[in-house]
Amino acid sequence: MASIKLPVFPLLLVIGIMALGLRCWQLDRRPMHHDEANQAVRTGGVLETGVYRYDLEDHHGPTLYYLTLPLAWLSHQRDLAHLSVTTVRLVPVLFGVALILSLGLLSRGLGRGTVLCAAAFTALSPAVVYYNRFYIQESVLVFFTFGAIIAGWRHVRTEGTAWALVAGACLGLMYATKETCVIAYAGMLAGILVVHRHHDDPWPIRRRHMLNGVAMAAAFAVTLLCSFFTNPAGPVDSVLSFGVYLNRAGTGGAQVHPWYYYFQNMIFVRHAGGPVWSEGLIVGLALVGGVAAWRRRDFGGLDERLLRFLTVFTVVVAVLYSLIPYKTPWLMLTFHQGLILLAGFGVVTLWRARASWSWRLGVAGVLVAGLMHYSVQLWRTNFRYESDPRNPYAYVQTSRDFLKLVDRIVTMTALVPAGGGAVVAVVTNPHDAWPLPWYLRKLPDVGYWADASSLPVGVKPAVIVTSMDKDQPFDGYETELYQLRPDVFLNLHVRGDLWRKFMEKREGSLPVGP
Amino acid sequence: MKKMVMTMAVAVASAAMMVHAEGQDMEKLKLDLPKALFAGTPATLKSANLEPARQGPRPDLMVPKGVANLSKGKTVTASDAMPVIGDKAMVTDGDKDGADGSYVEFGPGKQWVQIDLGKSASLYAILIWHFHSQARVYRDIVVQVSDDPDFITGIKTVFNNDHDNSSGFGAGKDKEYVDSYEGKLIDAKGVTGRYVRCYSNGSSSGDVNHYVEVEVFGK
Repeated sequence: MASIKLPVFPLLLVIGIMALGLRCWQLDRRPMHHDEANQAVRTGGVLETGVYRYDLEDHHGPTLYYLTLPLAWLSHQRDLAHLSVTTVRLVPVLFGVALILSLGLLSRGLGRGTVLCAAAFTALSPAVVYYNRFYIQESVLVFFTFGAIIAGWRHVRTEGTAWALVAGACLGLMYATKETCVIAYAGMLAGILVVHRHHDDPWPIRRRHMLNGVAMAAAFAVTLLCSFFTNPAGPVDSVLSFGVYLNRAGTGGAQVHPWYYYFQNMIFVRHAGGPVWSEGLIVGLALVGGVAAWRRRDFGGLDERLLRFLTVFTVVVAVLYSLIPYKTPWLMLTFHQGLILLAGFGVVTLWRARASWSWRLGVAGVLVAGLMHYSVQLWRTNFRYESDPRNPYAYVQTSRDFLKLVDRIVTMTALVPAGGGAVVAVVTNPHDAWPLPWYLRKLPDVGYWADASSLPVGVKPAVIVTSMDKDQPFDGYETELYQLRPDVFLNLHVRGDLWRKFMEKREGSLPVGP
Repeated sequence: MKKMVMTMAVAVASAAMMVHAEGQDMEKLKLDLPKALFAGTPATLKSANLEPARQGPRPDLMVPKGVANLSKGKTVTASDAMPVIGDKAMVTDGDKDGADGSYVEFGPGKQWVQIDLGKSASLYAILIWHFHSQARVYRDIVVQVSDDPDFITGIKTVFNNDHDNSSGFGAGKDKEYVDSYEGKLIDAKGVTGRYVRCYSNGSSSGDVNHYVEVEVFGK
């Protein structure tokens, strides 16, 4: 493969365009997950007020919110009510595509074949595509993590200050994105230490450059976490938040999963008669690439230190995430990307293992079959089972049934006569309220109560939404049941006069009979 | 006076039906149920339009002696000719297991399956399993019987829980229910017909429609 001079950047551009198309297609198709909705509502707040305050209990750093603002401004969306699903989800999409394009910067270290295979795997990986279309911090964090690795490697290769500053900026942005960046930091540190121990010619890391990088990292992190110097407590709170997250990591309730959870999700998942999900090809090829990185003797001009660094980084991050009882499937994205890079090297290793055409035809055949399998899974994951619990990536995902609830609320409140007080009352526990605040953002009179007894006396809301634990009969209301997410249901109580009006309109408009 | 006549007419009709039933020599309908995969309607799940979680076993349904499952292995047609998973023949293949590979999945929205019993029969019970490995509510369940394969004439509706008339058959008065290993047992009350058509409109879990099995009891 090395004998053929593959034009890396034009091919990466083609892969990037394909990746962009796959990530943008029907971007608003999947109902907003409650975590996405939570982030989007916070973004709406920053959009409206320009104010962000770090919350040490939840929500992570501000980069996701700040990075959404330019897209919102470009789309003329100036407040929460006008912010769209597509706009917010475009942020992780663009960072996912940018990561693919940036892999080209590693082509001298990993080889053109490795980079192009890794780019194709990233573009088509069902998990990566799914979470690149998911408005949470993970895709942005993965971009900055690999941005730091790429810039760091470029720096040690060229010894240029600019790359040290870029690496520092990425490290700082990682911290300002999500607290779990410390796991990636640990992986990077372990990778550097192991490479330095095992090589006679370790990477030249100069103190001055390192200090420049650290200063850059601190500057980015502090500036963002203190909300551009308007909240001095932000950076301190970000450190204190580790106490909260450490506690949560051990007592994650429903989010506690066995150590093999991530690998099970990647290798083989089949729920209740649904289709099989597997990214086993990437895991298998990464194993080949990882072993070759340590056992191969002739690297033909590639940087074996980078390959070994990636192996250690990926293993350490995977082990740390696997040891933490609190698990959500998107947390695997960082080490999944490491596996993808190693899988790219695995393909090249297999290709070069024998020079016979039959062998290489076999390797190419497996690769093409694997990518075709990925394409089918990608379609299933994102466009067919995108909110189905049988999809391993649709984790406590909002059901499509919930959209019918929202639709019903909007329909019913539209039937309220002018001046009739179209009040929507939401009476739920805090967990079951989301993603309602996002979906009801355009309605003027929406109230949230912890208990039905707290509802204002004398007011008959147009609709009342209740979680099962807060439900009670409401006199003169018609009740419907909707699924919020698997095994979690909400009741919608519609005021009798509105229900009758709705049914009269419907019966006048629908054909009778089959 | 008018009210009194009406009441007497209802009483006479009821008595006649009872005499007819007694004359038919009734027996308990025997059902062959699959293994339970979850405990039925979760006790915490309550809604005015949902059948409440039942305490104890399901009440027996009395049917005339000689009533048997007429649908096993019979031809199934469907509004969705290309199921996403499985085959429409699975609706009557006798496999009621809730696990992998025992159900057929039809496309999103309003869909129907239709069983051709081969000849017209008196039907006493219809037992439907949509999907029973997870607590789900299938929407707008309408079950109809007819001798017309196109369901244009002679339609008898034996179950309708489409409370908001989204399917256009009129608002149903039956309640929604959580599917379980017991299936939904519908009293067909002796209606006659050759074809049984079951409608659904997705479930609380998604837009697609599933069937594990449909059994039609009659003679």
